[in-house]
Amino acid sequence: MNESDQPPGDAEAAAAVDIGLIDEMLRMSPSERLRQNDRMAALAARLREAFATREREWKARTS
Amino acid sequence: MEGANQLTSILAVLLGEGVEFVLVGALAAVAQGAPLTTHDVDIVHARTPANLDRLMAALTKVNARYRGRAADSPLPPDRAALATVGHSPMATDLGPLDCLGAIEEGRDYETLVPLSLVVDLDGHPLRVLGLETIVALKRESTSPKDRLALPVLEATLKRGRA
Repeated sequence: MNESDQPPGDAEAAAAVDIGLIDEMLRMSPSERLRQNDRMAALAARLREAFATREREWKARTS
Repeated sequence: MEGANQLTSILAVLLGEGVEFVLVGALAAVAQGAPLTTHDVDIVHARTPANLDRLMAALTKVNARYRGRAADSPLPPDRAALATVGHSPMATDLGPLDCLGAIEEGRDYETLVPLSLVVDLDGHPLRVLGLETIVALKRESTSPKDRLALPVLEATLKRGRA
């Protein structure tokens, strides 16, 4: 697909892609990339849990 | 530990048991350099009787059970279901694992092998679906999640070729 064929939303998303991050990933071995994903997924899970806890506490305070 | 994310360890168990599979989905793209974060493993497995035996052994090792069931009535992996082109979404002690008999338009293990490449996972050969095919599949997809990932996948493909 040419860039001109993309709907505006996709073009905007394409412009926002972090090329530096891709280059960093490409320098890693496949094993390192997969472990990096494990670390990021664990971090995201901790953040989700922290937000959920905060929301539960806020609801408990305001109800 | 249903929420655990040790996806690399799931792959290691599958490889350790000698399961024949192609890693597909976002994790396959990650293995090829896409800076995405994914929370599950998607595989398309060979549906030969011998491979189903190996897959069942691996699933037992990671305490696999079907997702979406109440914790007090877990449903263990069903060999007959794994022998079909259907999807078996599992929870394991190491994170979610989707065992797919086939993906879009009936693409099964035998169809995907020529479209895959082998990468090294700690000394073990790991077969992953080629990034070019992943991008082609995501372009066909109507899922908002896939559409969001597409620019990253396309840019990774372009940078990898450069």
